[in-house]
Amino acid sequence: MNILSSAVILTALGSCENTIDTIKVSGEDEIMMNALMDVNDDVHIVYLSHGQGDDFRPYATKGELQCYVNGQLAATAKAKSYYDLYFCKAYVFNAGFKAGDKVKLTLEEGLSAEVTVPQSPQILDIDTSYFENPSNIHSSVFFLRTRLQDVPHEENYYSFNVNAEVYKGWNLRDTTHDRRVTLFTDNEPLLKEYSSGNDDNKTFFDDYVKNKYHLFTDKSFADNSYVLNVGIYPYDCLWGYYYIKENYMHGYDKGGAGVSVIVSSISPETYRYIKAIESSDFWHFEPVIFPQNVSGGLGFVSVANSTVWKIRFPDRMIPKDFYGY
Amino acid sequence: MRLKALHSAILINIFMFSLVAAGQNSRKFTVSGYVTDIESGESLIGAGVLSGGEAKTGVSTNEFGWYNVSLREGRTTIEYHYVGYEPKTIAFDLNKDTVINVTLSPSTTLSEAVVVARNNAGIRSTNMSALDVPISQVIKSPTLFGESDIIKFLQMLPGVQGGMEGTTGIHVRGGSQDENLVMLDGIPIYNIDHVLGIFSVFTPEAVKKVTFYKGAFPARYGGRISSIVDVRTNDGNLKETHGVVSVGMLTSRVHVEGPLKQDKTSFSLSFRGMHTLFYQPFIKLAMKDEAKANFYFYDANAKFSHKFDDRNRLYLGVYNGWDKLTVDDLYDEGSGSEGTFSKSADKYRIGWGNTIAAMRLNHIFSSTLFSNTTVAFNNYRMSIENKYNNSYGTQYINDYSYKYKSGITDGSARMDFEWTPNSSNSVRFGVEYTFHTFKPETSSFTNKAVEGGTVQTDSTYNELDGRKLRGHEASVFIEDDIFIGERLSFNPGLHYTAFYTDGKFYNSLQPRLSARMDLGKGYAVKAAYSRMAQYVHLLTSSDISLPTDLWVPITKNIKPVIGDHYSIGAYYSGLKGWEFSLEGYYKKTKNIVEYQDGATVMGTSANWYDKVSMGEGRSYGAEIFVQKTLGKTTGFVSYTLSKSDRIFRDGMVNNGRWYPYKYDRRHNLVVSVFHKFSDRVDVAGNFVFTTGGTTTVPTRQIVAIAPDGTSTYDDYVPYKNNYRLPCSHRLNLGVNLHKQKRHGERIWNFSIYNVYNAMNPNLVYSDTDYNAEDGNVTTNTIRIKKITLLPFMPSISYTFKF
Repeated sequence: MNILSSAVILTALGSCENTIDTIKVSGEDEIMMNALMDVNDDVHIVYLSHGQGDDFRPYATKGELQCYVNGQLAATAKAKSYYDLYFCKAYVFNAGFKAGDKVKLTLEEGLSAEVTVPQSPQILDIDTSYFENPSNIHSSVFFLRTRLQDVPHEENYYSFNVNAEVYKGWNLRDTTHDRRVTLFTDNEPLLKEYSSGNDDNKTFFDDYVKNKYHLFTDKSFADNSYVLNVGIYPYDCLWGYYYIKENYMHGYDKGGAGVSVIVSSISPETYRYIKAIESSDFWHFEPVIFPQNVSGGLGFVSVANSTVWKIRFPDRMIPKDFYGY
Repeated sequence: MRLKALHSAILINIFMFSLVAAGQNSRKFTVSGYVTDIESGESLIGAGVLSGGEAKTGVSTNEFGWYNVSLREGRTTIEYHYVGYEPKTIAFDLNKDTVINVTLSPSTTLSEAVVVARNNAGIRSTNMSALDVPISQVIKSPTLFGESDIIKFLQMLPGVQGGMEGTTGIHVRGGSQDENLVMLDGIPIYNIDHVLGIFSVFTPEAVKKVTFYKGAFPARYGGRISSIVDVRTNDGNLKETHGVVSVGMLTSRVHVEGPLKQDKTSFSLSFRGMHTLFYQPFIKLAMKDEAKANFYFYDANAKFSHKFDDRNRLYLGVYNGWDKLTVDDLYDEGSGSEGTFSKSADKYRIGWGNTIAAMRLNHIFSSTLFSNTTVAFNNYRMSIENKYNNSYGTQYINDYSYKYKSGITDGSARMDFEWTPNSSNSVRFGVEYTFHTFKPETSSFTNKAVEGGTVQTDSTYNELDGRKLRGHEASVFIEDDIFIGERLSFNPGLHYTAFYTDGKFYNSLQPRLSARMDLGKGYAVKAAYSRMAQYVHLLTSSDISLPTDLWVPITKNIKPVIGDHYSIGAYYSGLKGWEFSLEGYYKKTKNIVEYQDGATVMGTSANWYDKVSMGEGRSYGAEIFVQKTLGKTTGFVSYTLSKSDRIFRDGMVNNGRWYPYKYDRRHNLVVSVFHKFSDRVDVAGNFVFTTGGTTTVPTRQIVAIAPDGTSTYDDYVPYKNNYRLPCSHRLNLGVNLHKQKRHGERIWNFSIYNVYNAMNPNLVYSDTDYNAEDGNVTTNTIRIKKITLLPFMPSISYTFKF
């Protein structure tokens, strides 16, 4: 029985609960502008919503959504329904950003947000090793030891991700960012993640501590290099990619698989924003405060600067019975 | 550079000359000794020692009842005073340094203690915002469950606020709970709470004196920012054995003290424990039939004092207190096939508490030099244990256990000196070293499964680091009570601390200064400045005192908290039996530590330093305090107007903006009255009114985009602590019925906490109701809910003093 429940029972003798105040949370109908952009994105996507209470709708601007870089108009975004999300209408544009640029988004309804592009992190090298478990292919682990160089003389905030990559022949295809793979981080104190479902990792109050967006700071290695030690489960992250099967079946040049290691430098506000999103999964004594940097409305805009390092798996890593034949 | 050195040399020579000259205008001799209770031999702390004919000057006894005063040669009259005792006057010819040990007799009539300055605390003291807490008033004040509590009494004083309603947290002039140095006979106590803060660890019967500083801190104190609570316990009756037995609603207390060897060696023993059995049936009703739960706490104090001779005294003291919660959840399915049966047992144990052991040696070098040497051991620990056993007959057995521990251990040594070179100076100086060992968290799991006689799993997993953090803390201090004539007094001082931990060395020089000017006709003004440094933090996330709150040290990245405290005040004591004070203060702190927004604070705090931010705080206010100290009706009125806010400029809390502190309660009013009808009946009442503190509630919801490209919506909060809670108020009443019996005195106490059942909030939280559509818009409602744990609470207790 939960200890906290016990304590509450003991002290609840004679207790009474009632309401102090009631606040209607409709608020006003406000426009929200959100964008988590990256220097390396093929297209930059901005999401517009509006609503009150929990009734949110995609918002179609009656004017223009423009992007300025260092005060110069760089692009005008166009609606692209392909990228729409639940509650959100997507506007896309192409523009090149680099470290130090001041990027400003403006919406003709009076919203605007300005951010500065952070310095890109430096990946010095990545050392890999493969631990194969013949009796259980799913638990084979591909280790990545990524040596980073911290941007000196400033406080830095980073995120670390690994995307699955699939090759047809020798060509890389399908590199959308939503193919993030699960990381094995038990050996990496900066990213250590307690995964759900494991009683051993319960905290005292039956809660689960996560760092699912793999955020970390440079507090422990400021101005120096650091080796991030993580692993992935290659079999699991490649499951279902029929391109590889197709190539093997038809005797084409073998398809292949690999990963992109992505280290992103983010602003402190972005770090807090992502932490807030993650924290809202858990119960807290008080609501989590989300950073907002859109003036004239609500929302959060950021630009990350990522360094990407692509690694193709050796062919021997893909077992012959991978395709289930 | 040479000119600066010359100026310093000149100043030093002037100072030395003045010291010498002050003693050489005429021959002076020192009178010193101890002031004790004639019946028990107990030393009297803060007793007044006056001399000087019409224009009296005086000193007061120190924490061990010792005094010394420098007087001119010739016919001398000295008066000894102490509240509740008959004054004594001694006249003699002073022609050499003289030792006079004085005993005072308890008085049957109430009289005002006449002390002119030189107290450590009080309206006539040079120290500002310092108060001697009257234990008799603490005992008689009506409280929750009839349990007298020193800390809850402090909450009624100006500038002091409680945390959650009914708990023992104190927030002094905008400071947080960990900024209070609470000491038991000079040794800090890390956790002063029992039962999640409902009670404190102090048993009133064991306490002799409490001195409370909330503003100007004498240089002999250091290590915390906001207040000092100096609790001194009884040494033990040197004449006869006496005691007190008290049975209340929740706890019972026993106190016994007496001589082991008449006038030489004494003991003082106290024990308080909770009546868990009284609540056992209610707990069983609330839980499954097989489940059992028990909670208890206890405090045990033991002190031994030995007087070697007039110059040497030894004290040995031990304190141990513990809270324990046990929950046993047993399941027995009964017989299955072939007589086998399935059963399981899930047992929780959680406990927390303090252990303190100290040895003190007083030595009088001469009539002008007194020393106290203390060696102490101090430990706070908390442990959680869970054992789960599941079996199916003898075929399948699974044992799982989880252990979690955290704590702090200090070993310390300290030497204090009191030197009175002349009648105008009273110098204290000393040195202290503390070795801290912090064990923030250690946890381990073991799991063993046996099936069909074969071990399937047998593993041990150490989850948390368990790395001990060590800190070396060394301090030196010097302070001087300087009296210039009869009207002007200063207490300048310097406290220096060096702290080494985590490969980093920190040090702080902390100047202190208090000044008092007597304007005549009972009027006086005071001013003070203090700089304080704090090298430990308490990580807490809730309103209640949880055992999982962790004490952590500063690190190479988390710096010591520094506080600068300015205060000024005006006082009037010209009306006999009344004291009036008006004080104003401004306090600013830097490097205060708080969890970042959204930091997961429940459970493990591995890498806690990555989850906190350092920021600044500021608080200011005005306090009015009116006391009536004489007559059958006594009491006080306390009013505080205050404001307190904070900022964390790294943006990790409230996006780097100023926000009100959680316990920023603008107005605080307390009226406390005690009336003695006769020797058999007295009554007491408290009325407390405070405007609400703050909490954080969402005002709407917003759309958010996650890094994985999905959209979601979440609560939106404009700023931290954006909602002001309603006022809290309550009335407590109590009556004591005394009767002399053959072997002692019996007292019945009937109290009512919260007489008119004000539903004050003990816990506040927000909850969202998702309503149906209103037109085309779904309108949610946020309800600010409170849980009242302490409504109308009558209590009764029986006490027998023998």
